[in-house]
Amino acid sequence: MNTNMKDDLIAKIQNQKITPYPKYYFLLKNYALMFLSVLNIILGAIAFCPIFLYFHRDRWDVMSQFKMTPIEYWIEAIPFIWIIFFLFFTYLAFQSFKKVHRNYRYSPFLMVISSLILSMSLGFFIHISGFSPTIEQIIPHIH
Amino acid sequence: MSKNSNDLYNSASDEELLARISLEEITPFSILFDRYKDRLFSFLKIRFALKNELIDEALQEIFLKVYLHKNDFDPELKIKFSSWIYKIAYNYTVDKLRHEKKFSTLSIDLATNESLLTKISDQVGIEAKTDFVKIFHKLQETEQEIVVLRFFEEKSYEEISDILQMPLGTVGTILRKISTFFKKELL
Repeated sequence: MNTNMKDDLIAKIQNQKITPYPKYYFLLKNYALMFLSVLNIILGAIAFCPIFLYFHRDRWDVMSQFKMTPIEYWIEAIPFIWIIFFLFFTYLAFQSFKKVHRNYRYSPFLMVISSLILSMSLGFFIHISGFSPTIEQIIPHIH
Repeated sequence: MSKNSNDLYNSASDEELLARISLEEITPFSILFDRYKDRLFSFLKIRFALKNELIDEALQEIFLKVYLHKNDFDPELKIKFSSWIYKIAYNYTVDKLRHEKKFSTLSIDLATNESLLTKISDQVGIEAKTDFVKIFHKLQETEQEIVVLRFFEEKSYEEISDILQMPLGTVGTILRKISTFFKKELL
């Protein structure tokens, strides 16, 4: 082992006047990660609203018009993109939450389930508040 | 620096020393360096099978990181300083090796480390060291890491969880799996 390593490093720190990063730098990083977690939960909830809408729609008119069986219609109408968005944002929420402090200690399964439940609950709240059709109209042609 | 303050620093805990580090007060940093350089050297040697010059280079960067990131250490999170510095050393070396592609895969230098082999073989209850090496190399990378941290570095489950940043339950599960695997292989 290089015996001068310590002296070289200390000389480098002192000559270049290197100072430790301030506390607020790490606090901001943690707050940013927490903010990202919350943001992704909200985006997940928004993506969940059209899925709710899908389960609440009256399908009989459409089915009879296109002569589809209920199974055909259900498969055709599943909002795959919204489901993918929902799962994607839930995953991002889990990833950012895991990096905050010592959250890696929690079970990933519990963290993912918690993110899903939070997004679904918030999505349900947005849905019963009557915003689901608005969301579907704001982001059209996604199905 | 007076002899008294030097004594004071020498008897201080790692966490207390870290809190006192600043550009103006570099002695606590120097003491921490002395406390951990050999331990980290052997950890990197065993875990990554690096040449001595590369370890020296890595240690410089790791200790500079410790100095720069000292305010990231939060005693309220109840993480030990030793786990924190091992985590920095581990993450830094993994990133560096993967980035520079110096090694295609990470490797553990067990075969060349007689003292480690004896120690672990004794603890696991295997008489023939060659058997141990053979079985050890059948383990997955994370499992090998956990064996080194648990049996060579003598880290607790909590410390391993903090160093490798994985859930506590996963550490326990993997250790049980390793134990079963060794027993099965030795039958």
